[in-house]
Amino acid sequence: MSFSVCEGELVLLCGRSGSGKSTLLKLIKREIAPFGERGGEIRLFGRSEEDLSERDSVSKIGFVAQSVEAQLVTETVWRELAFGAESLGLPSGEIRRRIAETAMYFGLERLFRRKTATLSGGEKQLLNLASVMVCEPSVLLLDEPTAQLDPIAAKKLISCVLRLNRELGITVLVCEHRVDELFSYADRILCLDKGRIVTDLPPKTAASDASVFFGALPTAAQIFRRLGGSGEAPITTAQCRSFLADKKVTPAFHPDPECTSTPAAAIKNVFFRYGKSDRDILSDLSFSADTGSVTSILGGNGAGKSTLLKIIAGVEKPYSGKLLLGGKNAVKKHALKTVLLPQSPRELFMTSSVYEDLLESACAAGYGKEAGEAAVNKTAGELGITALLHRHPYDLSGGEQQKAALAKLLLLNPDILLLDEPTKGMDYDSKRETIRLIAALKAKGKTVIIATHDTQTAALCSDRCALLFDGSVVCSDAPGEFFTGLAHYTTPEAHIARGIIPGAVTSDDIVNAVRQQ
Amino acid sequence: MSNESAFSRLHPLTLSLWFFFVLTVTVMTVNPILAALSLLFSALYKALTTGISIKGISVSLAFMLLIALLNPLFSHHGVTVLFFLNDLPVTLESLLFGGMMSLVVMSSVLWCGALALCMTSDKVIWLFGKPFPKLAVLISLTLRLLPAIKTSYGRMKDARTAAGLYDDSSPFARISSSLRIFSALVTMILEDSIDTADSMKARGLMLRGRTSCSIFRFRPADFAVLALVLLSAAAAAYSSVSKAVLFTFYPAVSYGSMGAVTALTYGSFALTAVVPSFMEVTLWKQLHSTTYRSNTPQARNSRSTV
Amino acid sequence: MTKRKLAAELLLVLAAVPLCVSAGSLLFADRRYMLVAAVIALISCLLFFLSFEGRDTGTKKLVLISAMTALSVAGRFLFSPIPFFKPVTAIVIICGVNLGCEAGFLCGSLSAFISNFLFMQGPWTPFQMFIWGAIGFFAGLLSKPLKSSPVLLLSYGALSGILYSAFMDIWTTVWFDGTFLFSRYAAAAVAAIPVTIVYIFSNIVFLFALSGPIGKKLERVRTKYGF
Repeated sequence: MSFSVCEGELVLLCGRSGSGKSTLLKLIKREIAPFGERGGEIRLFGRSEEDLSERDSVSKIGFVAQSVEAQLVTETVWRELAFGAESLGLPSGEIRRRIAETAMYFGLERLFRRKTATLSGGEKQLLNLASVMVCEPSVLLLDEPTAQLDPIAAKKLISCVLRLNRELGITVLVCEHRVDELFSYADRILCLDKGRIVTDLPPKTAASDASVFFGALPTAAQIFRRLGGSGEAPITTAQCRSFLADKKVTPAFHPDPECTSTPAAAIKNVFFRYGKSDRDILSDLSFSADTGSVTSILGGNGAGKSTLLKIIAGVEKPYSGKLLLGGKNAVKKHALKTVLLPQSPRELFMTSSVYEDLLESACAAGYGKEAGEAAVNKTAGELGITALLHRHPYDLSGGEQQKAALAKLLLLNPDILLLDEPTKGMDYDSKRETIRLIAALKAKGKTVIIATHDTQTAALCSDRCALLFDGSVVCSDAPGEFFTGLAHYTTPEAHIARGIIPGAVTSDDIVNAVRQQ
Repeated sequence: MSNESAFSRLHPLTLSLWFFFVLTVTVMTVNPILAALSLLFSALYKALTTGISIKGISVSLAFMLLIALLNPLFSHHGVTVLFFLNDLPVTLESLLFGGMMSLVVMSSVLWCGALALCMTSDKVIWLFGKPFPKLAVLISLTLRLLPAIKTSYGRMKDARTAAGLYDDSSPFARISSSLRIFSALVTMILEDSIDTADSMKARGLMLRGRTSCSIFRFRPADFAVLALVLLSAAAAAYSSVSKAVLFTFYPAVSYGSMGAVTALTYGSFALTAVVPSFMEVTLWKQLHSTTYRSNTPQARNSRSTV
Repeated sequence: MTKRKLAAELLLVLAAVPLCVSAGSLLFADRRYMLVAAVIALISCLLFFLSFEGRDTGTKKLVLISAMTALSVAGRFLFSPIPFFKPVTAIVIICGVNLGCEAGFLCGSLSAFISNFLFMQGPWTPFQMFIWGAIGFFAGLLSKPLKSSPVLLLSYGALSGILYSAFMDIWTTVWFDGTFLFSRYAAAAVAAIPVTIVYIFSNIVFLFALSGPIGKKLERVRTKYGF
């Protein structure tokens, strides 16, 4: 492949997982270039890569990877900022000036003397970006920088990257699957497929180009493509609204969900805090999830979503209030089997092969040796991970890890599955797959409760959504009503359809509303 | 920072020399006056910073009594025999030596507590940074990993508890459950370490001529404390060589006469040892709140309104 | 510097310390030798750190040493409900066996240094740094036989428990008395027998449970990422 990037450009790299995006980025940064056979030439700043001095290669090219935690190398924020400049051998005074300036630019002043362990995920990634910027690079390589962040933190990081590009003229190469904000601001869209560049176009043309795969498009362009629009595709909410404005539409229709008699899990007036002197995480919270339904709990950071899941799972006990499972008081004893899929599924893996891990569950569920092996194979088959059984869990992709973890939990025959941020950091394809899996769980009669930031997924897969704020449920409704009722905290599709297609909250809603005419 | 003591605001160099001097004198001395001074000021500092409780005092006193009473059982030197135990003499000198040692042990423990409070990891890394830049990186990274390991362990345990895979029905089951999680934790940390290594390489760890940045400043107070430390160290060294503060327990208790040098040694040591407490009391005086640990909104408001 | 030369140099440093301590205890029937011992233990650690600064250690190895140190310190906390039942010595040995003498010494001495920051720093820190460092160093030196025979490895673990306890008892005696009284040492050693047994037991348990898996994990990371 060949391509070149001009100074000051913002280039968005997209492609399915395994298309070689990360490898491409890492090859540009000599220090971390992957092992293997290489051909061809990489030229940086008009010179061959080999001519670049070690010092320049470190300072001129900045690299931020997706792992938020593992990139931190020191225990305090200011030391983290100073790390790169210390490597370059700058004098102390110069380093102090640089880290002060960078901290100010990124709004890290208040965190300056904090321990890195006390930062939130978003703050950590911002720090990773800032500490690369201390070396004053002219090229910034970003490898899925928002993959482990929630949407709000991701937006903040992306706006910082845009500022660096616009204000400081830094060349940015970013590979990212959260494209709604970046797509319209990029100078060029580079699409990779199986190690080749298939598209190299400015965003407006790229949005309507067939070579750009569907998942890499912003929501606006996805709707345009699904409706078979022709000409220049809309790439922002406003453009899509004007595209839809002249269409004749019918209001979106959401069938009433069937009511089931008993809630599988119900929480009544629960209060929870971690320690006596802490604040209440949950206060006077009441919530219920019907048997065999999918319920999504939405809310900002620290709203208590994960804590609520832990209480239902029996990991934490409320200091006041009741937890009913299958209609029975469960604070002391669990009447129904609950399992919790953590945010990072790898926390569930204990052994060096997926098979052994699944077998552990099968044994815990009381299967004998042969029955256990059969059960493992059956569950793996159902989830489509038979081919992965003898791999190391850490060698799997994020989506595969999630499936393997889910298989491990399903072998325990749970009645209620609690999923913590199941679509966090996933690309379009894996998200689709997760939504399909959740639907399959529902079809099996399992009760699913999801804590998520992802409004799009919640709108697509749930029967009911609840908004958690300040420790209690503010509103709870079927997704159609839920997301039309909220003006800001809603799906991008609802933003597009507001006032044009009443009640539309998913792209299916919009497409159906237009097609029915 | 809410729980910062006034003394810890000094430069790491000052702090380390101060602690080195005071701890050396405390650990080495056989002079009961120096030991008593050391205990007095270390206890005062503890009371001013973390506070002391009745329970803490009684436990410490019992500990000290034990040290004092146990010594005559092992050491039978001394001329003043109090009584015989199993045909072995129990002497007054040995009892007194035990009492002196109890002062030494207790004040060392208290000063070490103060050391932990004042020499934060930031300052330790500063000390290592100049002579051992690579080691400083190693320590800093280890300190970064520690809390991450702790939270990961908690999350793994939660996930397994939720799934009913964490067995803590018996001590044996608990150990084997913990071991299982610990082993998985090792996998996670080792796999993640590759990303960390990349991040370090990308930011030039392997370049030659690494420097060490410091955000600490050497202020007039540092000069003052440092001068005091040097003066008392000189006095202590001189009187130790000239045997001006000589104090012997065996065979009989004997000590030199109180001269100018002796007075200077005691005085300068006392002055040095009182510095942390003095700073703690005077620095926050203007803020009308000596309990620096209180970080309640009320306390913060009252500080800002003064 | 060749590996053999390095090993010889380090062995010299490690041997010098106990020699000086015992010579000091014989020559000075005085408290002064307590300082001598502390300073020698400290200096030997610092000498080691200095030689580490001078050599090229790959970033990945550096990170692995750091990870092992963090794990051993964390182990001191995670198993905190059970007194003296800690994986520190076992992890230090595993680190030495798998990553070499230098890594073993660093892991051992830094584990003592860093964990004392969180537990209790004291005049005993240099001694602890020294003894744990030495345990890791010799584990690295004997890595071939220790790797090939689990029995040898477990015996080394048991021996480390005894040596650790014996060494720290010397320190206790010296500190409390100022001189080395054999009667006091014997009493301290006898009083420490239950603790020593827990040390031996925990070293064997943790080595048995962790040495295989951690060895494989280190091997996997090393082959997967090529170094």
